[in-house]
Amino acid sequence: MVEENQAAEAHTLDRYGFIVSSDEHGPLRQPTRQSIEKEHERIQKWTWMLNHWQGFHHTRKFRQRVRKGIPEQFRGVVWQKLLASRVLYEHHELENPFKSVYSALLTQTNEEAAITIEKDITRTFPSHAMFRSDNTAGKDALEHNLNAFACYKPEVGYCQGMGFIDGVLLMYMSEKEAFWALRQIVVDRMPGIFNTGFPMLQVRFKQWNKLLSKREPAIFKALARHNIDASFYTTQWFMTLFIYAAPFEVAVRIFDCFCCEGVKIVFRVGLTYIAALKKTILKAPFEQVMVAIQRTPLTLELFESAIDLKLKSAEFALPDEGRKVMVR
Amino acid sequence: MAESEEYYDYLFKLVLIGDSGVGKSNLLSRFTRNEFLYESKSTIGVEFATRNLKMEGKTVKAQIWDTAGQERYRAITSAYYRGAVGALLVFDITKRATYDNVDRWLKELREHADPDIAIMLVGNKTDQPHLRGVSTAEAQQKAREAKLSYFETSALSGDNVEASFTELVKEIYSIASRAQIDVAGSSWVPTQFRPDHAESVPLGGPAKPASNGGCC
Repeated sequence: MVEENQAAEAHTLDRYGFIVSSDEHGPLRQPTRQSIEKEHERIQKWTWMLNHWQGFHHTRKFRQRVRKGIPEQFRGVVWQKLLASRVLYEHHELENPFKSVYSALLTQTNEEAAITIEKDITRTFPSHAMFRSDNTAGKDALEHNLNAFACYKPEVGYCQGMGFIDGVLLMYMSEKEAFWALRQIVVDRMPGIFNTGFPMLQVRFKQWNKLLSKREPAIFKALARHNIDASFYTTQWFMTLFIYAAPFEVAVRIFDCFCCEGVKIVFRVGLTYIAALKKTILKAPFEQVMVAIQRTPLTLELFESAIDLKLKSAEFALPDEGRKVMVR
Repeated sequence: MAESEEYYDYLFKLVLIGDSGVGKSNLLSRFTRNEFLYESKSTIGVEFATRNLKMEGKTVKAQIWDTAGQERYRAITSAYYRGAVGALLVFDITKRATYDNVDRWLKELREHADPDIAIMLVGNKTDQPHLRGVSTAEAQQKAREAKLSYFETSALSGDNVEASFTELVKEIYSIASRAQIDVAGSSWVPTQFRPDHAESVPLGGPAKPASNGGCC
């Protein structure tokens, strides 16, 4: 029995570092010869694009390639460039090695945040090699990042859900780089989502309801009839960008698009996901509807059919986001 | 089996509340699936599970809701309380701060839940007696003052989990079945048991089988 347990401890990991036996992130595909060749081709294209970044990253072609998935080995670098966190990192951490902003933040404490953070560290990616109970490196980095952020922006502090985003960042970059990427996401890309009172989350709920009632009126009515509030199922989407529940290979693809195109991808994927459950939502009783919405896996196929869904930015733009779009 | 899943005489919506990390999600999984996850994720958004219980020959479906415990999440939980007839207010007996927050959770219930909601105080994690920070007597005292019942549980060992949920359901059942008699005699009925709240407690006799068994 003991031996069996020890054998089980020598885990097989998938390409993302999750324990394979864990069903948490869904079944995994084995790469085929064809998919490997295709990946090599993509790597060459991406190497070229990284070398021609300035002239290329605003193009439609670039966006299309992001939608097809950033090659695994470039994800960390490309995310940082797209989030513009790389610049902050270089400025705050590298320019003066004796004055690291991040290191200074690590010497501070936000007492209230620290208590909640501590409880969440082992509950963030429990089946990932970096964050498992028997591995301290990833968990320490996560705890440091979240505590540093709570000191950096005390008005946001720590909110449950942030850890899932930071955890993904830490799988692809160093602790300091991840901190600045987290900063960009929470402060710049998702302003107000995590703040006390959830001001922006409430805005997103309204936008979601509006979009759903326009695009899928029958579903909207059925959900309303069941008293299924948007907050029940979209909270995870807007806070963790589907990282919380989606199979990991889909979650990183969504994250690629988020870094490039912003929150639009959340609406696209959400709408496609809900539309795929239409039959259940319209016909099944309340409990089956709830279970379907919460448990149906978000497949790669579903994600790929969501990418090109046409949405008007105005449908979910914030007043100042709208301006940004105009300026571009 | 199919019958026990789909037919019920009463449907009670119960909510799990309490600070982050006290074990709400594991109490839910222990009660509804007899499972305890050592490696569970923090709850974001809303989780939900059901279990049917027998009460005096009637089938009661307990529909139990679980949500994030962090204080700021209360900004979006008003819909969570809608129609709830029972609440398990959970604290961690090894973490005093989670017990000190019980009064704030009671206030939260007063503000958002039905005034007649049945509340049970639950001290979880009795599998760690060496770390206990709240004595049984003290918690019992608080429960008495607030007119709540009190149970100590371990979601990990399963100790008392069944008993606590069942007791809460029994409490609600006795009010509901009394209310049903009262409905007949058209006297006072607690608001959440009125027929127009029937979404939570159908009073029109044996409940329909879940209308569309065959989904998708």
